[in-house]
Amino acid sequence: MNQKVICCASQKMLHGLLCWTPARFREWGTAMVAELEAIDHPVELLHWSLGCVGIILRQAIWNICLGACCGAWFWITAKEEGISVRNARMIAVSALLIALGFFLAPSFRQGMSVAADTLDYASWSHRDNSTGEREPERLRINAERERDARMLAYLAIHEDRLDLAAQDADHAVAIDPRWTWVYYVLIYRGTKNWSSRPNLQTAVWAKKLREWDPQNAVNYLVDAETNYRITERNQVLDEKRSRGRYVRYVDQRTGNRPWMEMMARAFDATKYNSYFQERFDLERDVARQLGSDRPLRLTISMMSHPLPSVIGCSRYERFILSNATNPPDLVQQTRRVIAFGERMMAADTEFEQIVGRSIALDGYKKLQPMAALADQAFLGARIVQLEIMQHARIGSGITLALAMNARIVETCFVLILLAAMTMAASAAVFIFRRMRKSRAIGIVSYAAVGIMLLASIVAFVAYLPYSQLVAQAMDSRTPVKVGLPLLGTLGSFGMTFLYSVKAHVYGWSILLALLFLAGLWLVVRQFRKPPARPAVVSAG
Amino acid sequence: MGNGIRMSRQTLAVLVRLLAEPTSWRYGYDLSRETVLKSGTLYPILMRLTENSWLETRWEEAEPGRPPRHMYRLTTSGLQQARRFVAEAKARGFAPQLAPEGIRA
Repeated sequence: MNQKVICCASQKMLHGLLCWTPARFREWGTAMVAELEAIDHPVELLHWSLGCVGIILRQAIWNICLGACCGAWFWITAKEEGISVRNARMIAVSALLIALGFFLAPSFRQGMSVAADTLDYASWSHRDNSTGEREPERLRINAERERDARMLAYLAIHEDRLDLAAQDADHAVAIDPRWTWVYYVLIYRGTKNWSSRPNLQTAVWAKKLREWDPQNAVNYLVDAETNYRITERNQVLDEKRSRGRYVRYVDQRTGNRPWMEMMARAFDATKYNSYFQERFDLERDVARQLGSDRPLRLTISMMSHPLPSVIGCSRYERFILSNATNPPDLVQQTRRVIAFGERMMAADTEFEQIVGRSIALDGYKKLQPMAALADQAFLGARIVQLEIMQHARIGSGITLALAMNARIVETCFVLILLAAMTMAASAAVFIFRRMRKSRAIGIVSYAAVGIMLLASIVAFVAYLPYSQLVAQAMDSRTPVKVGLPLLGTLGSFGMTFLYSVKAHVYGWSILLALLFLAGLWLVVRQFRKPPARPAVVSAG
Repeated sequence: MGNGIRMSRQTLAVLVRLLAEPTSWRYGYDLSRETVLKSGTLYPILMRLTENSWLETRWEEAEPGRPPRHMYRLTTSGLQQARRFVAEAKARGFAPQLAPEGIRA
């Protein structure tokens, strides 16, 4: 019974599809369909039918495309039409080609991709680690074959599965120990969701980091925080178990001995580096290597780079300053705090610089009353300087200044999308009407081509300042302190009205296109209505 | 190779099956079972072989209640070409993948 139904349904569907294939193929199509009667197993019947559908669809699509191309050529040359119609069509086709030609310009393509990424709310909330590449597996195989430590490190950072990421990181470090800092990113990912089971490998990674870069405060900070979070999690879970609900938890970092020891080593370390420059170089190099034209992805990726715990640093600093037993001890502790704060101020991110300034300020303020008279003037000046810097306006003026350009680019992007959809819809209507002419379709298509050309020109010009900034940021000589703020100007794309709707741009576009198609259908119907009969007037 | 036919492993498999009984007419489904090729792979090969005059085709006499089926056989020139190509391929160690005898054929 099933087999009969499948056979019958397949035959009907395939015969229907055969109508769209070229005449020379129909005999073969009929031959394939005829074989269905000889197949006595339902699964094989299905397989055979699917194979037939594949071939017939391929032929049908080819036939339609060929027909459309021929139709378009006859339409453009329009020998039977007047010279004005022919000229109008030539102008429309030229305009369309020019508009499409803009896509050959890398800066235009980049602008469109940035607009698409920005309007797509999902890409802003995309804080996970996907590479954005379609074939990370292929990249991994190639990297392992060519022993490309840089690519393996990149894949380790962007791999969603932590176990696979750890494997990539191990391979990268085995090939070239310079990539050991990748463990720093993995440690944070391993403890990101602290309410779930922590990854036990984090301790091993933290140890490797400390051994590789023993003078870096960040490696001790990360270890202190990881250990504390694991302990804290266990305590909260114990509380929950005993009381049957979560309780408000009081931070007990300073009561945690391993945490205190690690923080002490962090404050005494001689350098502070959260591997921001290394990460930026890696992301930028790989983006260039893969020919990626999506600077916004690079920016978002950098935004996901972990930074050491600010709460931990502040808490330790306040603890050691308030628990100094005597004045010499207090002086020594303030000097430690100031040194750590100054080191942190030299970090690559604005956030770390602010925290570092705050820590150093606390130290200077404590030290000033106890310092010798000769030093007090210097300390006072430094305090004033740091306070001014702390109250300086944060944020880039360029980002605000370019907000209008971002709006223009996004609006043009939507217009280009709509124009393309309109042209596709017009072509579809034209084909389904069996190439019959329609004034309405003609007008709509001309309008769409005009809008596309205009929007392309405007978008190209409006995106030019961004393309210059991005080009500078992507230059390998540009340090992260300069490069990231330059890329950060793309943040003005997040200030647009469409972004505030937080809707998926494609959803809007499809809705608008559907509305437009409905309107087009009404117009076409109107044109197809037979002319009203003249009223019959009786002679009598 | 020559004559506009790409000598893939699949094409070779089809030729080997056709060479096994060169005088008899074969159905598409039978060839598909013997060569373990899906319809989407087999028919483009048959079309190419026919276009290059290696194959001749005909429709069988229709039985009542069943549509007529298409049948295929190597032409005289196709037979010679196919023998030559299969021999060359075997000499190069290029073996076609076929269904095990007695299981699918």
